[in-house]
Amino acid sequence: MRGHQDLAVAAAAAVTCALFALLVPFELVRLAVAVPLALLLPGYAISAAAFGPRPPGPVRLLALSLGLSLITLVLGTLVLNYAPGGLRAGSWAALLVLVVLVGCVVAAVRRGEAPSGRFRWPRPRLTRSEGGLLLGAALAFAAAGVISSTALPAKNAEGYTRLWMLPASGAEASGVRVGVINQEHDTVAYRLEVQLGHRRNPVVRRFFLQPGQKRRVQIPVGGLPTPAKPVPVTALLFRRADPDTAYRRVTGWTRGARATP
Amino acid sequence: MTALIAREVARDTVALEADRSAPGSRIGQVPLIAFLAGIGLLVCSVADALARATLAPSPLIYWAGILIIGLPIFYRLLSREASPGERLALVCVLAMALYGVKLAQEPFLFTFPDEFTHSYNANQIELHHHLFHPNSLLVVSPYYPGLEGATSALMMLTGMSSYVAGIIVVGAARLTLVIALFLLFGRISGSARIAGIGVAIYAGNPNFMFFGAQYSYGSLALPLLVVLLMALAERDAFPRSWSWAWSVPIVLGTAALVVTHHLTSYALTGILLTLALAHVLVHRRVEWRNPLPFAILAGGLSAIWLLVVASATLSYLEAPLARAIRETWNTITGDTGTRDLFQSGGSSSGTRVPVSTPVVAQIFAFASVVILLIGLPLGLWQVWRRHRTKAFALMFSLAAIGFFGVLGLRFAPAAWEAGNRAAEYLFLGLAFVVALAIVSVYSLLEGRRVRLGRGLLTACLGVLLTGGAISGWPWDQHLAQPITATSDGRRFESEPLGMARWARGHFPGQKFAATEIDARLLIDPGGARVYSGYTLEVQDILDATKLEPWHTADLRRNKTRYVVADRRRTSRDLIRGYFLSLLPPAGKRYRPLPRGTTAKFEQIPTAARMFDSGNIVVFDIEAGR
Repeated sequence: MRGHQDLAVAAAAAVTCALFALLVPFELVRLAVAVPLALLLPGYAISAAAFGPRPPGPVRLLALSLGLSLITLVLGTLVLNYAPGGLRAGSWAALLVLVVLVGCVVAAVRRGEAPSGRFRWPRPRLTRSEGGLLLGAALAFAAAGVISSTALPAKNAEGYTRLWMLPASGAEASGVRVGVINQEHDTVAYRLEVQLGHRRNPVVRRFFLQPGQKRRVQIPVGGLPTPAKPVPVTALLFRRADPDTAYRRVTGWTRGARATP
Repeated sequence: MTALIAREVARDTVALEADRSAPGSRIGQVPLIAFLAGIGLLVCSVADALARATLAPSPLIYWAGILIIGLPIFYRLLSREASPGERLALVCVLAMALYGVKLAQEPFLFTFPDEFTHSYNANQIELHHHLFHPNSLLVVSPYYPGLEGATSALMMLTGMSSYVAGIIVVGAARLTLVIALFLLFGRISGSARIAGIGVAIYAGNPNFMFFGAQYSYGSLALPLLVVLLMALAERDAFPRSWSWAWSVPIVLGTAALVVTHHLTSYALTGILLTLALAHVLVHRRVEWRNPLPFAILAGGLSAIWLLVVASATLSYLEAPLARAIRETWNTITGDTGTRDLFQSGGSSSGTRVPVSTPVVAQIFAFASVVILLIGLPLGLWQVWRRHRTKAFALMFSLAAIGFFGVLGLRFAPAAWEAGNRAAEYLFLGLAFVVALAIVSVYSLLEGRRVRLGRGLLTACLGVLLTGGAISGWPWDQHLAQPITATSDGRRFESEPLGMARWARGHFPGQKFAATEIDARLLIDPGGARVYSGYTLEVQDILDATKLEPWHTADLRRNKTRYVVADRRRTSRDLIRGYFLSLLPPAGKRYRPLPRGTTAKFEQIPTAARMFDSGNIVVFDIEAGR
């Protein structure tokens, strides 16, 4: 590839990007190197190999680089699916680097004698005002991204509360787990009543939850023969604002030593 | 007049290859217009933010943002001065800014109907390191793994989610689409100006802004198709010695398309056969430029893939296509009523959420069709005069006429979706033909009328953009809807999303029966296996207010232990059901479905009602066994 600086740069960039993508633990850095590795370089190398000494012009080369890179990813999916190990970060990096290196070598061979002169990246000639406007455009796009990704209060959205009940976790555990999650706009005072079978007194818990806050309650089961016929369990959730109306209701089954929902 | 048009086109004809200089030398008005596009996107995102904050902002803010993006670009594209490089940059800015408008709706989660199934597939590939893992919601989708495979590459290389990787892949595909389309139109017309205007018109197709930008296999397939067409056009234009080089993207692209999307691969075969026929008509013989070998390749590969790998596609496509044909016939003969335009909602009339589009918006949508209709004969005349010896131009003319044919399908209840999807492909031809019409009209303007005419044509393109967007996506869904929000600094989420996350925590990979909306959230982010709609008659079971013996028998026979019952009317609405329920003035309060739709499952003796969030209740029908 001596003398074909674009090919040398593409090959070196592919290897560097692959190493960074595999070794660097930071997602943003990996994203910055993975995008050219996956979405630009393979298409560039295949185009260079296909067109050899007569490249198709910068705009067409850009379209082909993007398009053929996407095509490489699609077809690479099939290749890696039947390769040992399947689709993994390492196999993807290896495949993409291989495509770029083979493409660059074929291109170099087809181009033959090295062209004179150094490879030059296009350099936009911008005036100060043009640069300022482009910077402003980038800032506007970024600001739009920040605004869109900011979670906002939604006072006119309907709030609600989630109540769930499941068997206590673990093979030896008995009883039920009950969860309450406040998705209302305000702090709510709750009363939770768990009725086990036909027992006279339900288990009662009282608590406050702020918006977004959750509470888990473990209700042990005692005094039931084990194993036995399943006994129904009912959990009712009340709000202090309306203490006589069950706001949420869940039901399940328990066998004493072990419960099923 | 003919001489005027010829002079105009000659002045405008700029070989794209001539634009090899560094971009800076021909940057023209790009910085200013990119800045305005950024402002336009910012305005749209502010409108979206106000909507997510449930402050019911005026939709005018959002549409003003869209026009701030579009109008300066259209105005400049119409000018005679802009260089080919500048025009290309402008259409790229247009495409990326409009993609930004789509992303600004919800920058953390997929919320479009097809996105959940493909995101689930991508997650399955990352999890299992292999393809073809079943998807209970869209059974054929794992057999067309092109999009998800490409996404999985970025997911694995970056460690990021399917959402981030997915929007990057679709973004790259959209950039590829506009560049390739610009080159294709430029090659056929010989004019960068017609190419730029053609791409701008294409941005006005009903699916460009939202449906075609969602994370779905069609969103990758269409750009691949356009790259193929561009390569074919280039191969046509270059000497035979270049043929092999241009054949590389055509052959590879055909293979990639076949494994990415069923309908687009069949469309490719049809397009190539039409082109081959047009070649014969134009050249009166079969010569090396004729794309018949590529048509045979595309048809052969599609057939092999269909029969060997994706045979489920036959039954997947058969039923809706047969229904579409039957209902179209019934609509024509008057046996069935026509579909109301500008209406959308639930899957069945009993659960439909009534949403109407304001009259002004409807006028914009109709005006965009009228503009296209006026442009069609003018453009066809230009094709006949200047391009009738070009196979591509003939095919584009056929597609342009065909667009108005499938527009009629929008009146047939079961066929409107097929018509909507076909329109996206046919619009490629229509955009080219109408671009020829616009340039020919512009060439008739002289003196002071030039500026006025340019302004009017810019306005027409603005109407095409807004009208297309209005007819392509429900009016009330252009502005963002909140799926999460904050209260006292803590985040809370919509009812179905909360249920899906709860299911992910406690029942990963388990089988659920759920409504269309809950099902989508249950597979992603819920990670569950879900049956919905008319699969296993789930929809009928969930809509019923009384428990029938066959309900339980059906669920048990299919080993579906968990059932999600949802009383929200929007839970059957594929577009509106994912979000927080809104109260006036931000939204409408809909009467919930009858209590029996959820309560009936409590009659199953072994059932447990294990989750209750008010409207949504999750049952385990085998808990008491």
